[in-house]
Order: sequence, then C-alpha cells, then structure tokens
Amino acid sequence: MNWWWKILGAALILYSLIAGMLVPLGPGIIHVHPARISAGGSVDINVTGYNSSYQSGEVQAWLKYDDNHALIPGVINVVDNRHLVLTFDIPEERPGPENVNALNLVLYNPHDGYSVLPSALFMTGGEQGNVREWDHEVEVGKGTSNFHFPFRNILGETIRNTYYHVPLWMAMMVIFTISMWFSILFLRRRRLEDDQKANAFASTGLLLGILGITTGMVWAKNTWGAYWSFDVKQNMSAIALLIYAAYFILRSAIADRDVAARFAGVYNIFAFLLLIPLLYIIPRMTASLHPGSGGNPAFAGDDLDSTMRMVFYPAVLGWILLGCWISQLQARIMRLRQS
Amino acid sequence: MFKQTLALIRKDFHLDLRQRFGLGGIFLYVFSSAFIIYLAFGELTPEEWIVMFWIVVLFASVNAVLKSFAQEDRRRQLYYYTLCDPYAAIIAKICYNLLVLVLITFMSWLLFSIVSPNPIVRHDLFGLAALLACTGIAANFTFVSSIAYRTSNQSTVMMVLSLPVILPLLLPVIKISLKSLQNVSWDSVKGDFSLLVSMNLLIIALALFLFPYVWRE
Repeated sequence: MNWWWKILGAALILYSLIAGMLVPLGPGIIHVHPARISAGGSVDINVTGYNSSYQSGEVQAWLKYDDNHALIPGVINVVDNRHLVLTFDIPEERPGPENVNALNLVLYNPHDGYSVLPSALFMTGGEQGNVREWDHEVEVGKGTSNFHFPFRNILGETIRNTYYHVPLWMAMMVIFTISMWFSILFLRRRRLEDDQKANAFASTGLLLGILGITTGMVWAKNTWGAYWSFDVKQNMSAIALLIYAAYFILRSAIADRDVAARFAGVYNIFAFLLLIPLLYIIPRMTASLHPGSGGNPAFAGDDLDSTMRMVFYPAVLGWILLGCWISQLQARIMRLRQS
Repeated sequence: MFKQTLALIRKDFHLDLRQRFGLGGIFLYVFSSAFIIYLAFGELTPEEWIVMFWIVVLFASVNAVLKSFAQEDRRRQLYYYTLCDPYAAIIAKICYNLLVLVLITFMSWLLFSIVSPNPIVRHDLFGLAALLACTGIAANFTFVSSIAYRTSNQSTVMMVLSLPVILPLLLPVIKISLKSLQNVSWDSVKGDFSLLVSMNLLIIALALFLFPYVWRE
C-alpha cells in the first residue's frame, strides 16, 4: 500500500473540483439603480441581489453614512427574491461637512443574514446640520441559510478560482523545491537517477506553472478587465517560467549527458534561489493589483473563511501529490528510454 | 589562495592586453550604440536616458563577460584546474570582470553625457547603485558564463540563462536610477539599496558555493 498517496491526491483534486464548483455562493448585492442621489426629496432605489431570498422573511435595509449614522427606508417593496425597491426620504441635512458622500447599502433578512454593497450610492448636496433622520444604527444578526462560499463584491463567482489558481501555484513551488533538492542530491552523490528526478520534477513544475498562470489570466480578464495588465506579480511569474524554460534549453544545449546533468543541476539551484526574491520580495515592495499585495485582501482573517478553507487546503495537498505522481511517472519513462 | 587570485587576475589582464580586440571591441560597441541612440532619438528625456544607459551597459557586459571563459581553450582550463583552487578561480574571474564592468559603466556614463546632457541629480546615489549593479552583474554573468561556455551556442544560451535571473538585481537599480533624477532623500532609496545589497550577497554566495561543481570537467 505505498500508492495510497496517489489515490489520496486524485481524490482530493476530484473533491476540490466538485465542491469548489457546486457549493453555491452566499447572498450579495450586485446592482443598485440609481447610483447618484441628491439630498432632499424622496427616491426609489432598485436593488438587484445575487443568490438572495428577499421573499423569505422581513427585509431590513440601511443606507449607511458612517458607523453611527444610517438612513432607513420608508417603504420596502419586495418584487421577487432578487429584486427590491427601497423608498428613501433623503433629508436636506447630513451629518458631515463633505458635499459628496459615498453611502453603503446594508440589507438584512433572517434567511440570508446581512449583505453589504460598499459605496452603493453617491449623495450630493444638502447641508451639514440636524442629524435626527440619520440617527439609526445598523443592527444585523446571522442568517440561517445553508452552507455557502462568501460573496465578495467584484469577485462574485470568480472567488472559486482560489481553489484552482492558488493551489496550482503553491504546488508548483513545492515541486520546484523538490526538483532543487534532487539537484543537490545529484551534485553530492553523482547518481544519474537523481538528475532524472530533478528533470522530471522541473518539467511537472513548469506544467503546473503554465496552468497556474493561465487560470490567473482567465481570472484577471474577469476581475481586472484584461488577461495581462503588466502587473508586477504577473511579470514576475512570467519570469519564473522563463527561468525554468532556460533550464530545459540548457539541458538540451549540452551534448555530453554527464556534463549536461551537472551543469543543469547547478543552474537549477542557482535559479531557484534567485526566484525567491523575485516572487516573494519584489512584488511586496511595489503596488500590485494582485490579492495579497497593495492592501488587497488574500488570506487575512475574513477573506478565506472556514467554508473556503475546507476546499482550499485539500486542493493544495491534492495538487502537490498529483504533481509528485506525474513527476515519478516522468522519471520512470526517462529511465526506461535510457536503458 | 589570495596569491593565486592575484596571479589569475594579472593573467587575465595580460591576456586582454595582448589581444586588444576583446576589450577594444566592447568599447567600440558601447560607443556605436551611444551614437545610434543619439541619431535615433536626438535629445533623450531623462527616463529614456536611464533605460538606454542600462540596456547598453547590460548587453556590453554580457559580451565582455562571456569571453572570460570562452577565450581559453579546454587544455588550458585543465591546466588551471590542476594548479589552483576553485574559489581562487571564480573570485579572480569575478574581480577581473568587475573591473571591466566598472570601466564599461563609467565610460558609458561619460559617452552618454556627451551625447545627451547628463540628467542625473544625485550623482552619489547613481554611482553607488551603478557600482553595486556592476558587482552583481559581474558575479551573475561570470557564474552563468562558466555554465554556458560548454554549450554549442554560447551567446544565446548565456542570454537565455542570465537575463531572467539578473532581473531581481536590475529592477532596484533602475528604480534607484530613476529616483536619482530628482534630489531625493536617502530614506526613499534605502529599501532599494538594501534589496540590491542582499541580492549581491546572495548571488556571490551562490556563485562561490556552486562553482566547484562546474569547475571540474
């Protein structure tokens, strides 16, 4: 039973594909119309929700000015589960001095729990003064709805990419580390099997890297608006792939097998250690669109909540195990070809 | 070992003096690129100046360093191998290439300043960054050329191998250069300099640690 880890790897990936795709997203707000209001007078605001169930219980709504000031609607008209019309009487007076204010929309119903759309509305005009109408605080409880992934604004359904893009990239780093480890072993023991393994792991790592960068590009198209926006993280990942492409070019450029193995091993160690600052230090020193840098959320606190962890960690482990399996097969093929 | 290193540096120096086309060709390369850039651009904006400067220096150094292993034939390499310590060999090559690169860099600076007025305000920052860049580039290219000289297509393989790994070094250098166009304070470049110094240390340590494995044929 020394093949149990192969079954485990395949099962974990299968699980992450199925659970990652099938579990629904939590309720959220995707659209508010009109987006601009002016102080004074009554306004009807059409709200479009996502995976919401407004008909299941009493809906509460707040237009949030700041932590202590919010406006509640006079009338809440539930059209269907995904559409609401909120009628607000916007007072002439506002709590703060600014002329233009971004208001957050907060909704609550007993089934969904609460959902927020930050900067849902821009309010212009009015005067600073009496805040009696604004004198509400947002009070929400927990929803009773089923197991779901969190809804994040802008991300929407693309949040599922966390289970594919990120684990692929992490597995790639692990596989490259193993490849470097075999290169070190080769340089110490001078056994050609070690070099074949280093070669096999490097090629699997490159495959995972290409898959990782492709899934990242598809995600970027949907959230950043373009497949490639020359973001520092994207550029550095492309360079990482270039370095390993160079590794294979070096291997094929030397005719003598022993020399090729030795030089490739040396370059593998050299390149991998120079990759670390490229991937993990430089992107942190500059502004980036990528989650995890420039103040964008990634793995801090709320961003990867417990429902996501249940799919994310198995996926990471699964891709690492599958990567090892592929590399092992690759190394065996190389050994057979040679003999 | 120190003596060996000095002797090897002196040997490289004599070799280059004897066959003048090597270094002369590189200086001519820098000169003609500066001239072509002048003809193409006329006057350069400060940013173009910086970028063009580093591109010319980078490619000139690839050519300068590549010959450090390639110019000697296999039999002579074997002779050195029997004579000297690998650490002495790599340190000597790095030091010699560092001297050549510093020469190339400051000559390019001079030439570029003639072609288009020198836009640098903080000469001390730029000079220090250039010096550190030369150290890193010399160590990196020397080591990579020790790998690449055994391949059939040396200069291509050298470029393919060295350009991606030189990037973490080049990015802070270009950043510091762009900042040195204005009268910035030391604090605003401290982070870039610390990255630059640590990259230098990392590259030199790796080159020293790994060279003995390449050295033995």
